[in-house]
Amino acid sequence: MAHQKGGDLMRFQPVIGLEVHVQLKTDTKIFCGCSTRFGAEPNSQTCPVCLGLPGALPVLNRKVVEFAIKAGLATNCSIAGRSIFARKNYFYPDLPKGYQISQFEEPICQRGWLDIHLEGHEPKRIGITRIHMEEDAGKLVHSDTPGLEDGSGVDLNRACTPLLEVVSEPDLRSADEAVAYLKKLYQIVTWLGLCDGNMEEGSFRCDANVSVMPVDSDTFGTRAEIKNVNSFKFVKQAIEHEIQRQIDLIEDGGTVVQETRLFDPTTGKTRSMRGKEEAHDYRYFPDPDLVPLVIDTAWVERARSELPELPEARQKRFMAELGLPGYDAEVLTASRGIADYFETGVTAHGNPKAVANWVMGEVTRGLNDNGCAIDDCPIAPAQLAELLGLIDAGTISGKIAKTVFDEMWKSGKAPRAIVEEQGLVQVSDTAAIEAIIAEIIAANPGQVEEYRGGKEKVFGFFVGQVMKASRGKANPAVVNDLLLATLKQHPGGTT
Amino acid sequence: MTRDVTDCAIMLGAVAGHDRRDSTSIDIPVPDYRAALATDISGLKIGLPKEYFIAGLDPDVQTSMDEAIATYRRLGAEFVDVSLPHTDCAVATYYLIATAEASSNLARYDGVRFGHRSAAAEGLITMMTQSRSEGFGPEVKRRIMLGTYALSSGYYDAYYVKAQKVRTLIMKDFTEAFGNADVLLTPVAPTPAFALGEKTGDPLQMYLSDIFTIPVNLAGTCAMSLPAGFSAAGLPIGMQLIGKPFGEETILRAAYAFEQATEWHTRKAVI
Repeated sequence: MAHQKGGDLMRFQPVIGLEVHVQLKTDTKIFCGCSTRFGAEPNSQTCPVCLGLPGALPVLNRKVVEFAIKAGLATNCSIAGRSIFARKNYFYPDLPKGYQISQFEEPICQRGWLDIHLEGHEPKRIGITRIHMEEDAGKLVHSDTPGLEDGSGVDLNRACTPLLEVVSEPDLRSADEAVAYLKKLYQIVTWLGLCDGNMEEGSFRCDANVSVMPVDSDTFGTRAEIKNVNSFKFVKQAIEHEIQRQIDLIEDGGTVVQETRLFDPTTGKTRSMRGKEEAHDYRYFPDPDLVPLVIDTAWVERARSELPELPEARQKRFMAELGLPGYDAEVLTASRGIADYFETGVTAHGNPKAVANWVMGEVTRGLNDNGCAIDDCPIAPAQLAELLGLIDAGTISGKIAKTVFDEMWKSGKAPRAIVEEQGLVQVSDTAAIEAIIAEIIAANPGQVEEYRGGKEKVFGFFVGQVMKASRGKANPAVVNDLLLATLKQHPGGTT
Repeated sequence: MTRDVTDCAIMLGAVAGHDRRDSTSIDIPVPDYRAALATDISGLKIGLPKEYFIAGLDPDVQTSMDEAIATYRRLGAEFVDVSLPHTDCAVATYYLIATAEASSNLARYDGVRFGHRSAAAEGLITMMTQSRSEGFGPEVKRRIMLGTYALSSGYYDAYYVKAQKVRTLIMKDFTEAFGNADVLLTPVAPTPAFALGEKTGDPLQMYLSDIFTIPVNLAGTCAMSLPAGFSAAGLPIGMQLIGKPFGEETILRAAYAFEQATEWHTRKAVI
C-alpha cells in the first residue's frame, strides 16, 4: 500500500539523546599554560605540550576541574572521588598527538538531571548520564584563506582548549524537548560563568543521537548521530528532518542504519558522513601520562559554596519574595546579568513590578536596538530606579519617562538633570491644565457635540489633544478628572 | 650509564626530583646519594628471589652470582630466600602494556608535523600510511601492531585490562618480598651478552632476555645493574640490585660496597 510522504508522525515516537560540548572560559588550556583567547594569529598560542612534541607531558589545569565540579553540582550530578583521563586514539591532521585526552570509563560527574518546562506541558526531568573533561582539537583552514590558495593548513591555537562533554540520557521525545534541554543547559553554564556561550565561535555545540520507534514500543530503534550542530535553530531543524527521514524510510519498507550524519544548514537536511563499517575504533585506554584525579569532599563543598543562586531558585524567589508573575520571573532570569540588574534596581527602588516592567520593556528594547549585552547597558540600575522615583513622585509622567530614558541612554546623564534641562516636569497645576482644556474644547466643537450626543469614545481624543498641547507634560490623572468635569458641566450633557 | 657507582650516585642526584611538568613525578626531597655511599653493609638483608635462579640459567651467570653472594657474605650481609611468584607473567604483561602505550605514543609520527613525510603521497590517508610505513623500522612496526591489537575493541579486556591486573599482582609480589629483605639480588639477564643482531630473527626469544629486568619496570620500584663477572668467552655478566620504592640510597650503598671489594668494574670485555 502506498503511503503519503512526509507522513505518520503519530505512529512513531522519536527518541533523542544529546552530547553537548561546552568550551570552558578558563584563561589557559587544559594541559598547558597557553592562552585560550579566540581569533589570534594561527599557531601563536601554542607550546610543546599542545603541539604534541615528543617528550612534552600534560599537566592538568586545576580551574578546569573546578569548573567541571560546578557544572556537575548545578546539574544534580554526583562528583566522582576518583576519575581518570583516557586517550581516544584516531588520526586526523588537527590532532597533533594522534589521540585526544578525554575521560572514558571513570568520568568526573555522573547521574545528574535537568528539568525542562515546555509551555502547556508538565515539567519533565531529563537524565544526564555523565559529564567529562577533555581537550579540543585544532582547526583546519582551507584554500579559501588568503595565503593558502593551494592547500590546507593546521591552526593549533584551539588544540588543548578545555571542554566539558555533557551526555544526556535518551529521555528526549521531540525536537522541542531537545531544544528546551539545550537552552536550560546553556543557561546554567553561562550563568555559572563556565562558558562564554558564543555559539558562533563553537563555544557550545551539540551532537544529537536520533532514533524512532512505534508509539506502543519500548525498544529503541537504530540511531543516527548528527554531528556538530551549533545553533538552537539548527538543532531543531536537524532533529525534525532526521525524525521525518527515518519515519519515511521505515514506512517505505527500509531500515535505519547506524551511522554518523552531518546537518547542512543551507538545505535543512542531514546527509551520511560515515557508516558503522567506517566507524572508528578509538582504542580508549587510561592515559599513562596523567595520574588518577582525586577529588576530596572538601573540594566539592568549596565549589558548592561558591555556586551562585541558580536560575531556577532565583526564579522561584522572584515569585515568592518579590511577588512577580511567573512569566516575569522567567524572563528576568534568562541570564544572570539580567537577574542581577533587575535585583539591584529593586534594591534601589522598592517596587519590583515597576522595575520588572521597565527591565523587560525599555531596557530590553534598548539592548536589542543597540545590539549590546546587559553588562554593557549604559544606564545603571540605580539610575533606572531614580527615573522610576520621578514617576512615583509625580514629577514626570510614564510617557515622558520614556523620553528621558532614551536621553539617558544617549547622553549618560542623570534623569533629574535631563528633566530639569529640558523642562519636562509634569504639570499638575489645575489652573494651567484648565486653560489648555478650555482651548481644546473651543477649537473642537464638532467632537464636543459628538461626546455630548453619547459617543463617549471621543473622550480619548480630548485627552490626547490636551497631552499634545502640553507637550506630554500634563499629569494624565489630573487631565482626566478636569476634562470629565468640564465636559459634563455644560448644559445638554448626557449624564 | 656511568663507569662506577660514585658517578652513578652523582648523576642520579642531578636528574632526580620533582618535575612540575611531569604529573607522574613525586614531590619529595632528593637525598644526598653520594653521602649514602659506604662500605659497611653488615646486617643488610639481601633477598634472593627463587624464580630468578632457575635451572635454565646460564652456568657462567650462575657462577658469577654465587661469587657475588659469597662476596656479600664476607662483607657481613645476610641472605634470605624470597619469592616473586608472578615473574613468569612479566614478559607477557610488559609486552602488552608497553606496546599498547607505544602504539599510541608513536601516533604523532603521522607525517603532518614532524618525522618522515612520504614524498610519494598525494591524499591525506596515503600520506599518513606511507609516511609511517616508510619511516618506522620492523621492530617498531611489530610493537605498534601488537599494541594496537591489545587495545582494540573486543580484545581490550582480554589483553590490556588483564595485563594491568597482572601488573598489580607483580607489584604486590615486590611489596611482600621487601617485607623480609632490604634489597634483592638477581642476575640482569639469563645469559651473558649476546651479539648484535643475533636474536632479531626470533623476537620472542629476544624479549625473554629481559625477563629479570622487566618485572622491576612494571612494579615501579628502583633497581641498578653493575658488573659482576665475565663468561668463559669473555663477555660481561651483570648483577641487578633491586630496592624498595625510593630505596635508591640502599641499593647504591650495597653496589658501592661490592664495587670496593671487587675489580669487575675496571675490566673490559674483549671484543
